[in-house]
Amino acid sequence: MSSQASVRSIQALKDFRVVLSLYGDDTLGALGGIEAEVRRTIHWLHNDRPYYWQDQIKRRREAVASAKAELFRRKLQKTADNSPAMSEQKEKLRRAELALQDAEHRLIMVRKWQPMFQQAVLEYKASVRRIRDLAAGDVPRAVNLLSRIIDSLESYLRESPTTSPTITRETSIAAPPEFEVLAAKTIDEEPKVSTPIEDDDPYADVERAAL
Amino acid sequence: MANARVVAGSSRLKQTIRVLRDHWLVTEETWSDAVRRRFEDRYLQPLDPATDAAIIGLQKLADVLDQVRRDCSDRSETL
Repeated sequence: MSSQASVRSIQALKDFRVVLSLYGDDTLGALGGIEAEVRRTIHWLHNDRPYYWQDQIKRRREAVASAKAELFRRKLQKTADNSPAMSEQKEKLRRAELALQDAEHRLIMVRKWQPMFQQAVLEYKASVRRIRDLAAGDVPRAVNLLSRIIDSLESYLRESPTTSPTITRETSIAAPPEFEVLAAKTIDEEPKVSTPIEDDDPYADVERAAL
Repeated sequence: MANARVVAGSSRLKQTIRVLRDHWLVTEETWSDAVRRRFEDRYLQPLDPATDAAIIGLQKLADVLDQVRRDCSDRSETL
């Protein structure tokens, strides 16, 4: 009975180890999805938008020229006794000019956003760096440590008599003194500050290409 | 409307830390000693402020992404 209780305790640790491992994967997965969105936007801003709006400006200038020519032709039809309606042509020209202004404004916005978005991405990266480093470095280390703790406990259970008073207590996991020393030593030996994962920077290529 | 993908990522971060915290509490019934406290201090406690900082950063990013899309898209385009 006492051994079973200890095994169940170890099972709880094993279950938590799985959850912790999934936590690391999920966190990195969530950040990866966002990073993909950021990369898509950087690409869109640098490689799609400038060409799109330059093309639109060209097309809309042609539309303005066409609307002006149409209005001019209409004006030419005007005589002393013939005054053709021009409101439709004027409205068409007005709309074409507004559309052109909008395209010119949006091209300016694209150029304005290119460096501003880079800055926003840098700020975003700074805000998630800590959790990313923890999920990529400390969490796997914690999973490994739990594995070692579990191994130590299982080894202890195998080697100890089942009637050992240290095992029969409800707080049996804390009981083996050699385990506690081992686990404490392992935790203390871990580096206090996680190493930034600079080599795995998902933006590096995109930023180099964009700048 | 905040960028849907970023909002989804932010929700996932919140959800996954909540699940971790809940499971950690479950282990308390069978593990409560100095090693546990050290383990918690060393590996689990830093996750909360790091997650909070990330979520704030994600909200700002979502707002910026929305603004970029609004400013640089053609109204006639389907995003």
